[in-house]
Amino acid sequence: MNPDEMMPPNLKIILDEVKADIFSTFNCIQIGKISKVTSSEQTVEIELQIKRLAADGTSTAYPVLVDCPYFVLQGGGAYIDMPIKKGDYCIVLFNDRNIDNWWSTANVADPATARKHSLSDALAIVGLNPKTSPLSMDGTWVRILGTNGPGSEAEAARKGDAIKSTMADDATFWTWLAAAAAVLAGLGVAVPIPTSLTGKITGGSSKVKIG
Amino acid sequence: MKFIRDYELRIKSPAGVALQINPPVSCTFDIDRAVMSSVNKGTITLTNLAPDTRNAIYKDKYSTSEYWQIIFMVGYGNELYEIFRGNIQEAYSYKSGTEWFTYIDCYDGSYAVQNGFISETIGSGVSLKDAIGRVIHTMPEILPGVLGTPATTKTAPRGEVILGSSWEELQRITGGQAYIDGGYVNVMAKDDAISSDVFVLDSDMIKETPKRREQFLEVTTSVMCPEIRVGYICELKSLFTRYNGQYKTYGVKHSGTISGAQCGDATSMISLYKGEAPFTMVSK
Repeated sequence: MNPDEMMPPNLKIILDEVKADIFSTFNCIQIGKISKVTSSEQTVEIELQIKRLAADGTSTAYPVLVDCPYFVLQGGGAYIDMPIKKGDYCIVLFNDRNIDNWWSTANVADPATARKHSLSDALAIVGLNPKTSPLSMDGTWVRILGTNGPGSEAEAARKGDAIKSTMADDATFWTWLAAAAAVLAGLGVAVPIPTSLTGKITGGSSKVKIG
Repeated sequence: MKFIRDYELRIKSPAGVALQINPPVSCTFDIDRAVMSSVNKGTITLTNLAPDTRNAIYKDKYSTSEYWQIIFMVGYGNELYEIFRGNIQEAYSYKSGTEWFTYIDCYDGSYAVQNGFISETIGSGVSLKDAIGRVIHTMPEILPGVLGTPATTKTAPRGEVILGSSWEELQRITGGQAYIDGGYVNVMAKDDAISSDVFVLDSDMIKETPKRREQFLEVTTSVMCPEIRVGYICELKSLFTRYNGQYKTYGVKHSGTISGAQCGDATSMISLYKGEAPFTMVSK
Protein backbone atom coordinates (compact mmCIF):
# COMPACT_ATOMS: atom_id res chain seq x y z
CA MET A 1 0.00 0.00 0.00
CA ASN A 2 1.50 3.29 -0.99
CA PRO A 3 1.40 6.44 1.21
CA ASP A 4 -1.35 8.01 -0.87
CA GLU A 5 -3.60 5.05 -0.18
CA MET A 6 -2.77 5.04 3.53
CA MET A 7 -3.30 8.77 3.97
CA PRO A 8 -5.48 10.02 1.13
CA PRO A 9 -5.40 13.84 1.00
CA ASN A 10 -8.76 15.27 2.00
CA LEU A 11 -10.43 18.20 0.30
CA LYS A 12 -9.57 20.69 3.05
CA ILE A 13 -5.86 19.90 2.80
CA ILE A 14 -5.97 20.28 -0.96
CA LEU A 15 -7.87 23.58 -0.77
CA ASP A 16 -5.50 24.88 1.91
CA GLU A 17 -2.54 24.00 -0.31
CA VAL A 18 -4.12 25.73 -3.29
CA LYS A 19 -4.88 28.80 -1.19
CA ALA A 20 -1.34 28.90 0.18
CA ASP A 21 0.07 28.56 -3.34
CA ILE A 22 -2.08 31.40 -4.66
CA PHE A 23 -1.15 33.75 -1.83
CA SER A 24 2.54 32.90 -2.04
CA THR A 25 2.75 33.64 -5.76
CA PHE A 26 0.27 36.51 -6.00
CA ASN A 27 1.79 39.99 -6.08
CA CYS A 28 -0.30 42.87 -4.81
CA ILE A 29 1.57 45.58 -2.86
CA GLN A 30 5.11 45.66 -1.51
CA ILE A 31 7.48 48.20 0.00
CA GLY A 32 10.50 49.02 -2.08
CA LYS A 33 13.66 51.09 -2.00
CA ILE A 34 14.79 52.85 -5.11
CA SER A 35 18.17 51.71 -6.36
CA LYS A 36 18.31 53.66 -9.63
CA VAL A 37 16.37 56.50 -11.20
CA THR A 38 16.03 57.03 -14.93
CA SER A 39 14.45 60.49 -15.07
CA SER A 40 14.30 60.58 -18.86
CA GLU A 41 11.89 57.63 -18.85
CA GLN A 42 10.40 58.34 -15.43
CA THR A 43 11.24 54.85 -14.28
CA VAL A 44 13.05 53.45 -11.31
CA GLU A 45 14.72 50.22 -10.31
CA ILE A 46 13.47 48.90 -7.02
CA GLU A 47 14.74 46.53 -4.36
CA LEU A 48 11.86 45.01 -2.45
CA GLN A 49 12.37 45.37 1.28
CA ILE A 50 10.66 42.23 2.50
CA LYS A 51 12.34 38.98 1.57
CA ARG A 52 10.71 35.88 0.19
CA LEU A 53 10.29 32.97 2.59
CA ALA A 54 10.80 29.47 1.28
CA ALA A 55 8.97 26.42 2.59
CA ASP A 56 12.17 25.20 4.26
CA GLY A 57 12.38 28.39 6.35
CA THR A 58 15.18 30.04 4.38
CA SER A 59 14.71 33.47 2.93
CA THR A 60 16.04 35.13 -0.19
CA ALA A 61 15.81 38.58 -1.68
CA TYR A 62 13.60 39.20 -4.65
CA PRO A 63 15.29 40.09 -7.92
CA VAL A 64 15.59 43.81 -8.66
CA LEU A 65 12.47 45.19 -10.34
CA VAL A 66 13.40 47.15 -13.45
CA ASP A 67 11.74 49.74 -15.68
CA CYS A 68 9.07 50.54 -13.11
CA PRO A 69 7.14 53.74 -13.94
CA TYR A 70 6.85 56.05 -10.95
CA PHE A 71 3.84 58.12 -10.03
CA VAL A 72 4.04 61.90 -10.50
CA LEU A 73 1.36 64.14 -9.01
CA GLN A 74 0.11 65.96 -12.08
CA GLY A 75 -2.84 67.05 -14.18
CA GLY A 76 -3.60 69.18 -17.21
CA GLY A 77 0.05 69.44 -18.03
CA ALA A 78 1.01 70.75 -14.59
CA TYR A 79 3.03 68.53 -12.29
CA ILE A 80 5.18 68.53 -9.22
CA ASP A 81 8.72 67.53 -10.07
CA MET A 82 10.34 65.88 -7.08
CA PRO A 83 14.05 65.08 -7.09
CA ILE A 84 13.55 61.34 -6.57
CA LYS A 85 16.83 59.68 -5.76
CA LYS A 86 18.43 56.37 -4.90
CA GLY A 87 17.52 55.33 -1.38
CA ASP A 88 13.98 56.72 -1.40
CA TYR A 89 11.31 54.34 -0.20
CA CYS A 90 8.21 53.70 -2.25
CA ILE A 91 5.00 51.75 -2.36
CA VAL A 92 5.14 49.18 -5.17
CA LEU A 93 1.90 48.20 -6.84
CA PHE A 94 1.69 45.27 -9.22
CA ASN A 95 -0.61 45.81 -12.16
CA ASP A 96 -3.29 43.25 -12.97
CA ARG A 97 -1.98 42.80 -16.53
CA ASN A 98 1.18 43.33 -18.58
CA ILE A 99 1.87 47.07 -18.96
CA ASP A 100 4.58 46.81 -21.65
CA ASN A 101 2.40 47.89 -24.58
CA TRP A 102 0.76 50.79 -22.76
CA TRP A 103 4.07 52.00 -21.38
CA SER A 104 5.88 51.86 -24.70
CA THR A 105 3.07 53.21 -26.95
CA ALA A 106 0.46 54.90 -24.70
CA ASN A 107 -2.19 53.09 -26.74
CA VAL A 108 -5.06 50.89 -25.73
CA ALA A 109 -3.73 47.46 -26.67
CA ASP A 110 -3.80 43.79 -25.87
CA PRO A 111 -1.40 42.79 -23.12
CA ALA A 112 1.93 41.70 -24.58
CA THR A 113 1.83 38.50 -22.54
CA ALA A 114 -0.65 36.70 -20.34
CA ARG A 115 1.16 37.46 -17.08
CA LYS A 116 -0.99 38.74 -14.21
CA HIS A 117 0.01 40.51 -11.00
CA SER A 118 3.59 39.97 -12.03
CA LEU A 119 6.71 41.38 -10.43
CA SER A 120 7.51 42.61 -13.95
CA ASP A 121 4.57 45.03 -13.93
CA ALA A 122 5.43 47.13 -10.91
CA LEU A 123 4.44 50.77 -10.43
CA ALA A 124 6.05 52.97 -7.80
CA ILE A 125 4.54 55.65 -5.58
CA VAL A 126 7.42 57.40 -3.91
CA GLY A 127 6.96 58.77 -0.40
CA LEU A 128 6.89 56.26 2.40
CA ASN A 129 9.05 56.21 5.49
CA PRO A 130 9.89 53.65 8.12
CA LYS A 131 9.72 54.47 11.81
CA THR A 132 13.50 54.90 11.88
CA SER A 133 13.54 57.86 9.49
CA PRO A 134 10.34 59.90 9.70
CA LEU A 135 10.19 63.33 8.09
CA SER A 136 10.28 66.44 10.30
CA MET A 137 6.64 67.51 10.49
CA ASP A 138 4.88 69.40 13.31
CA GLY A 139 1.41 69.08 11.82
CA THR A 140 0.80 72.87 12.06
CA TRP A 141 1.88 74.28 8.76
CA VAL A 142 1.57 73.35 5.12
CA ARG A 143 5.21 73.12 4.22
CA ILE A 144 6.92 72.37 0.96
CA LEU A 145 10.55 71.60 1.66
CA GLY A 146 13.33 71.50 -0.85
CA THR A 147 16.42 69.36 -0.70
CA ASN A 148 17.89 71.66 2.00
CA GLY A 149 15.44 70.17 4.45
CA PRO A 150 13.72 71.57 7.56
CA GLY A 151 14.74 75.07 8.70
CA SER A 152 15.37 76.35 5.21
CA GLU A 153 11.74 77.18 4.58
CA ALA A 154 10.08 80.64 4.79
CA GLU A 155 6.48 81.72 5.03
CA ALA A 156 4.77 82.19 1.68
CA ALA A 157 3.14 85.59 0.85
CA ARG A 158 -0.11 85.98 -1.08
CA LYS A 159 -1.94 88.78 -2.86
CA GLY A 160 -3.65 90.94 -0.23
CA ASP A 161 -1.24 90.06 2.53
CA ALA A 162 -0.20 93.08 4.64
CA ILE A 163 3.29 94.46 4.26
CA LYS A 164 5.17 96.69 6.71
CA SER A 165 8.58 98.32 6.56
CA THR A 166 10.57 100.02 9.34
CA MET A 167 14.22 100.93 9.95
CA ALA A 168 14.69 97.41 11.29
CA ASP A 169 13.34 95.91 8.03
CA ASP A 170 15.17 98.07 5.47
CA ALA A 171 17.87 100.25 6.99
CA THR A 172 19.25 101.39 3.62
CA PHE A 173 15.90 102.78 2.45
CA TRP A 174 15.05 104.53 5.71
CA THR A 175 18.55 106.00 6.07
CA TRP A 176 18.33 107.35 2.52
CA LEU A 177 14.89 108.83 3.28
CA ALA A 178 16.21 110.53 6.41
CA ALA A 179 19.12 111.94 4.39
CA ALA A 180 16.73 113.22 1.70
CA ALA A 181 14.55 114.84 4.39
CA ALA A 182 17.61 116.55 5.86
CA VAL A 183 18.49 117.99 2.43
CA LEU A 184 14.94 119.25 2.00
CA ALA A 185 15.02 120.79 5.48
CA GLY A 186 18.31 122.54 4.56
CA LEU A 187 16.52 124.05 1.58
CA GLY A 188 13.78 125.27 3.89
CA VAL A 189 11.24 122.68 2.81
CA ALA A 190 9.56 121.27 5.87
CA VAL A 191 7.78 117.95 5.22
CA PRO A 192 6.72 115.20 7.63
CA ILE A 193 9.15 112.29 7.56
CA PRO A 194 7.53 108.83 7.84
CA THR A 195 9.32 106.26 9.94
CA SER A 196 7.33 103.22 8.83
CA LEU A 197 5.32 102.01 5.86
CA THR A 198 2.26 99.72 5.57
CA GLY A 199 0.38 98.31 2.57
CA LYS A 200 -0.78 95.19 0.80
CA ILE A 201 0.62 92.91 -1.85
CA THR A 202 -1.41 93.77 -4.90
CA GLY A 203 -0.38 91.03 -7.34
CA GLY A 204 1.00 87.50 -7.49
CA SER A 205 1.29 84.49 -9.77
CA SER A 206 -1.75 83.94 -11.96
CA LYS A 207 -0.82 80.25 -12.24
CA VAL A 208 -0.56 79.22 -8.58
CA LYS A 209 -2.99 79.88 -5.77
CA ILE A 210 -2.56 79.01 -2.11
CA GLY A 211 -5.61 78.79 0.13
CA MET B 1 15.10 -13.55 -28.26
CA LYS B 2 12.04 -12.97 -30.42
CA PHE B 3 13.01 -11.15 -33.64
CA ILE B 4 16.45 -10.70 -32.10
CA ARG B 5 15.08 -7.88 -29.98
CA ASP B 6 17.65 -6.40 -27.68
CA TYR B 7 17.85 -3.70 -25.04
CA GLU B 8 20.22 -1.97 -22.71
CA LEU B 9 19.17 -0.22 -19.52
CA ARG B 10 21.59 2.11 -17.78
CA ILE B 11 20.94 3.51 -14.33
CA LYS B 12 23.10 5.86 -12.32
CA SER B 13 22.31 6.44 -8.66
CA PRO B 14 22.86 9.76 -6.82
CA ALA B 15 25.89 8.11 -5.17
CA GLY B 16 27.38 7.55 -8.63
CA VAL B 17 26.81 3.80 -8.76
CA ALA B 18 26.28 2.78 -12.39
CA LEU B 19 24.22 -0.25 -13.32
CA GLN B 20 23.81 -1.76 -16.74
CA ILE B 21 21.16 -4.35 -17.45
CA ASN B 22 20.86 -6.35 -20.64
CA PRO B 23 19.17 -9.56 -21.77
CA PRO B 24 18.66 -12.31 -20.71
CA VAL B 25 16.93 -10.36 -17.95
CA SER B 26 13.34 -10.07 -19.13
CA CYS B 27 12.08 -6.56 -19.63
CA THR B 28 8.60 -5.18 -20.21
CA PHE B 29 8.20 -1.52 -20.97
CA ASP B 30 5.87 1.30 -21.94
CA ILE B 31 7.46 4.51 -23.12
CA ASP B 32 5.38 7.57 -23.96
CA ARG B 33 6.99 10.55 -25.67
CA ALA B 34 5.30 13.59 -27.15
CA VAL B 35 5.89 17.22 -28.05
CA MET B 36 3.59 18.38 -25.29
CA SER B 37 4.18 20.37 -22.14
CA SER B 38 3.59 17.34 -19.93
CA VAL B 39 6.79 15.41 -19.32
CA ASN B 40 7.41 12.13 -21.13
CA LYS B 41 6.86 9.02 -19.08
CA GLY B 42 8.14 5.48 -19.03
CA THR B 43 7.54 2.36 -16.99
CA ILE B 44 9.93 -0.55 -17.09
CA THR B 45 9.54 -3.87 -15.32
CA LEU B 46 12.49 -6.22 -15.02
CA THR B 47 12.14 -9.84 -14.04
CA ASN B 48 14.47 -11.74 -11.75
CA LEU B 49 17.35 -9.36 -11.34
CA ALA B 50 20.24 -10.50 -9.17
CA PRO B 51 19.50 -9.72 -5.49
CA ASP B 52 22.27 -7.09 -5.22
CA THR B 53 21.09 -5.29 -8.34
CA ARG B 54 17.47 -5.53 -7.23
CA ASN B 55 18.30 -4.05 -3.84
CA ALA B 56 20.32 -1.27 -5.41
CA ILE B 57 17.35 -0.10 -7.45
CA TYR B 58 15.08 1.53 -4.93
CA LYS B 59 13.76 5.05 -4.99
CA ASP B 60 11.11 6.71 -2.92
CA LYS B 61 8.88 8.74 -5.25
CA TYR B 62 8.76 11.63 -2.79
CA SER B 63 12.55 12.07 -2.61
CA THR B 64 12.49 14.57 -5.43
CA SER B 65 15.95 15.96 -4.74
CA GLU B 66 17.67 12.65 -5.58
CA TYR B 67 18.73 12.34 -9.19
CA TRP B 68 18.63 8.82 -10.55
CA GLN B 69 19.52 8.92 -14.21
CA ILE B 70 18.04 6.30 -16.52
CA ILE B 71 18.74 5.63 -20.17
CA PHE B 72 16.84 2.95 -22.04
CA MET B 73 17.84 1.71 -25.46
CA VAL B 74 16.11 -0.91 -27.54
CA GLY B 75 16.55 -2.32 -31.01
CA TYR B 76 17.27 -5.39 -33.01
CA GLY B 77 20.53 -7.26 -33.05
CA ASN B 78 23.29 -4.90 -32.07
CA GLU B 79 21.55 -1.82 -33.41
CA LEU B 80 20.13 -0.06 -30.38
CA TYR B 81 18.32 3.28 -30.28
CA GLU B 82 17.79 5.42 -27.24
CA ILE B 83 14.04 5.58 -26.67
CA PHE B 84 14.12 7.10 -23.21
CA ARG B 85 16.44 9.33 -21.20
CA GLY B 86 15.31 10.80 -17.96
CA ASN B 87 15.21 10.17 -14.26
CA ILE B 88 13.61 7.60 -12.02
CA GLN B 89 10.70 8.84 -9.98
CA GLU B 90 9.99 5.59 -8.18
CA ALA B 91 11.58 2.15 -8.16
CA TYR B 92 10.98 -0.91 -6.04
CA SER B 93 10.98 -4.71 -6.21
CA TYR B 94 8.46 -7.32 -5.17
CA LYS B 95 7.99 -11.05 -5.45
CA SER B 96 4.90 -12.48 -7.06
CA GLY B 97 4.63 -16.26 -7.23
CA THR B 98 8.07 -17.53 -8.04
CA GLU B 99 9.28 -14.40 -9.81
CA TRP B 100 10.93 -11.23 -8.58
CA PHE B 101 9.83 -8.08 -10.38
CA THR B 102 11.57 -4.72 -10.30
CA TYR B 103 9.26 -1.87 -11.24
CA ILE B 104 10.70 1.43 -12.44
CA ASP B 105 8.60 4.53 -13.00
CA CYS B 106 10.53 7.24 -14.81
CA TYR B 107 10.01 10.63 -16.37
CA ASP B 108 11.96 12.63 -18.90
CA GLY B 109 13.08 15.80 -17.16
CA SER B 110 10.91 15.56 -14.07
CA TYR B 111 13.98 16.10 -11.87
CA ALA B 112 14.57 19.39 -13.68
CA VAL B 113 10.89 20.29 -13.49
CA GLN B 114 10.72 19.58 -9.77
CA ASN B 115 14.03 21.17 -8.80
CA GLY B 116 14.51 24.02 -11.26
CA PHE B 117 13.99 27.43 -9.69
CA ILE B 118 14.71 30.82 -11.17
CA SER B 119 14.99 34.23 -9.54
CA GLU B 120 16.43 36.66 -12.08
CA THR B 121 16.01 40.08 -13.56
CA ILE B 122 16.07 40.12 -17.35
CA GLY B 123 16.97 43.51 -18.80
CA SER B 124 14.96 45.17 -21.54
CA GLY B 125 17.63 44.53 -24.16
CA VAL B 126 17.68 40.76 -23.68
CA SER B 127 16.04 38.72 -26.45
CA LEU B 128 13.41 36.13 -25.71
CA LYS B 129 15.77 33.46 -26.99
CA ASP B 130 18.42 34.49 -24.46
CA ALA B 131 15.82 34.70 -21.70
CA ILE B 132 14.72 31.13 -22.52
CA GLY B 133 18.35 30.05 -22.36
CA ARG B 134 18.73 31.62 -18.92
CA VAL B 135 15.66 29.82 -17.64
CA ILE B 136 16.84 26.47 -19.01
CA HIS B 137 20.22 27.10 -17.38
CA THR B 138 18.53 27.01 -13.96
CA MET B 139 17.06 23.56 -14.61
CA PRO B 140 19.38 20.79 -13.39
CA GLU B 141 20.40 17.84 -15.56
CA ILE B 142 18.87 19.28 -18.69
CA LEU B 143 20.16 21.08 -21.77
CA PRO B 144 18.73 23.51 -24.30
CA GLY B 145 17.65 21.80 -27.49
CA VAL B 146 15.83 23.18 -30.53
CA LEU B 147 14.55 26.71 -30.03
CA GLY B 148 12.09 27.20 -32.87
CA THR B 149 9.59 29.82 -33.98
CA PRO B 150 8.28 30.82 -30.53
CA ALA B 151 11.82 31.59 -29.40
CA THR B 152 12.26 34.53 -31.73
CA THR B 153 14.89 37.15 -31.14
CA LYS B 154 12.35 39.88 -30.29
CA THR B 155 13.01 41.96 -27.21
CA ALA B 156 10.50 43.33 -24.76
CA PRO B 157 10.27 47.12 -24.30
CA ARG B 158 10.67 46.71 -20.57
CA GLY B 159 12.76 44.44 -18.42
CA GLU B 160 11.20 41.49 -16.71
CA VAL B 161 11.49 39.64 -13.44
CA ILE B 162 11.36 35.86 -13.69
CA LEU B 163 10.71 34.22 -10.36
CA GLY B 164 9.39 30.78 -9.56
CA SER B 165 9.49 27.24 -10.88
CA SER B 166 11.76 27.31 -13.93
CA TRP B 167 9.48 24.96 -15.84
CA GLU B 168 6.37 26.99 -15.12
CA GLU B 169 8.15 30.22 -16.01
CA LEU B 170 9.47 28.65 -19.20
CA GLN B 171 5.96 27.61 -20.19
CA ARG B 172 4.75 31.10 -19.38
CA ILE B 173 7.28 32.98 -21.46
CA THR B 174 6.99 30.55 -24.39
CA GLY B 175 3.21 30.39 -24.36
CA GLY B 176 3.21 26.74 -23.29
CA GLN B 177 5.28 25.61 -26.26
CA ALA B 178 8.23 24.10 -24.42
CA TYR B 179 8.69 20.38 -23.99
CA ILE B 180 11.41 18.08 -22.77
CA ASP B 181 12.55 15.15 -24.88
CA GLY B 182 15.61 13.05 -24.27
CA GLY B 183 17.03 15.45 -21.70
CA TYR B 184 16.73 18.47 -23.99
CA VAL B 185 14.30 21.35 -23.72
CA ASN B 186 12.80 22.22 -27.08
CA VAL B 187 10.59 25.21 -27.78
CA MET B 188 8.56 24.66 -30.91
CA ALA B 189 5.30 25.87 -32.40
CA LYS B 190 2.78 23.30 -33.50
CA ASP B 191 3.83 23.71 -37.14
CA ASP B 192 7.56 23.63 -36.42
CA ALA B 193 9.43 20.42 -37.24
CA ILE B 194 13.03 19.49 -36.59
CA SER B 195 15.16 19.44 -39.68
CA SER B 196 16.52 15.97 -40.45
CA ASP B 197 16.10 13.02 -42.82
CA VAL B 198 12.48 12.02 -43.28
CA PHE B 199 11.43 8.80 -41.56
CA VAL B 200 9.43 6.69 -44.00
CA LEU B 201 6.62 4.65 -42.50
CA ASP B 202 5.70 2.29 -45.30
CA SER B 203 2.94 -0.27 -45.54
CA ASP B 204 5.19 -3.16 -44.50
CA MET B 205 5.67 -1.54 -41.12
CA ILE B 206 2.04 -0.72 -40.41
CA LYS B 207 -0.11 -3.16 -38.49
CA GLU B 208 -3.50 -1.67 -39.37
CA THR B 209 -4.95 1.27 -41.24
CA PRO B 210 -4.20 4.69 -39.78
CA LYS B 211 -6.86 5.91 -37.37
CA ARG B 212 -8.01 9.48 -37.64
CA ARG B 213 -8.24 10.79 -34.09
CA GLU B 214 -9.06 14.45 -33.49
CA GLN B 215 -6.27 16.41 -35.16
CA PHE B 216 -4.00 13.40 -35.39
CA LEU B 217 -3.51 10.19 -37.27
CA GLU B 218 -2.72 7.24 -35.08
CA VAL B 219 -0.56 4.58 -36.67
CA THR B 220 0.40 1.33 -34.99
CA THR B 221 3.42 -0.46 -36.33
CA SER B 222 3.66 -4.21 -36.70
CA VAL B 223 7.12 -4.21 -35.17
CA MET B 224 8.61 -1.67 -32.80
CA CYS B 225 10.30 1.29 -34.51
CA PRO B 226 12.74 2.61 -31.91
CA GLU B 227 14.42 4.88 -34.44
CA ILE B 228 11.42 7.20 -34.80
CA ARG B 229 11.75 10.50 -32.94
CA VAL B 230 9.16 13.05 -31.96
CA GLY B 231 9.20 16.47 -33.53
CA TYR B 232 10.64 15.18 -36.81
CA ILE B 233 9.00 14.65 -40.19
CA CYS B 234 7.54 11.23 -40.97
CA GLU B 235 6.24 10.18 -44.36
CA LEU B 236 3.29 7.81 -44.32
CA LYS B 237 3.04 5.33 -47.21
CA SER B 238 0.04 3.17 -46.40
CA LEU B 239 -1.80 0.88 -48.83
CA PHE B 240 -4.84 2.83 -47.73
CA THR B 241 -3.65 5.91 -49.57
CA ARG B 242 -6.12 8.48 -48.34
CA TYR B 243 -3.90 9.70 -45.54
CA ASN B 244 -0.53 9.28 -47.23
CA GLY B 245 1.78 12.25 -46.99
CA GLN B 246 4.24 13.97 -44.75
CA TYR B 247 3.44 14.58 -41.11
CA LYS B 248 5.11 15.78 -37.98
CA THR B 249 5.64 13.03 -35.42
CA TYR B 250 3.67 14.42 -32.51
CA GLY B 251 4.01 11.50 -30.17
CA VAL B 252 5.16 7.93 -29.99
CA LYS B 253 4.38 5.14 -27.56
CA HIS B 254 6.69 2.18 -27.52
CA SER B 255 5.53 -0.85 -25.66
CA GLY B 256 6.73 -4.38 -25.59
CA THR B 257 8.46 -7.28 -23.97
CA ILE B 258 12.03 -8.32 -24.57
CA SER B 259 12.64 -11.71 -23.08
CA GLY B 260 14.19 -15.03 -23.84
CA ALA B 261 11.62 -16.78 -21.66
CA GLN B 262 8.38 -15.26 -22.81
CA CYS B 263 7.11 -14.06 -26.15
CA GLY B 264 5.09 -10.92 -26.55
CA ASP B 265 4.47 -7.97 -28.80
CA ALA B 266 6.74 -5.00 -29.22
CA THR B 267 5.06 -2.21 -31.12
CA SER B 268 5.12 1.51 -31.58
CA MET B 269 2.02 3.67 -31.75
CA ILE B 270 2.77 6.89 -33.54
CA SER B 271 0.70 10.08 -33.51
CA LEU B 272 1.08 12.08 -36.69
CA TYR B 273 0.12 15.72 -37.14
CA LYS B 274 -0.65 17.10 -40.58
CA GLY B 275 -0.17 20.73 -39.68
CA GLU B 276 -2.32 23.78 -40.29
CA ALA B 277 0.35 25.39 -42.44
CA PRO B 278 3.48 24.17 -44.21
CA PHE B 279 5.95 23.01 -41.60
CA THR B 280 8.69 25.39 -40.60
CA MET B 281 11.90 23.43 -40.39
CA VAL B 282 13.99 24.34 -37.38
CA SER B 283 17.29 23.08 -36.08
CA LYS B 284 19.62 23.58 -33.13
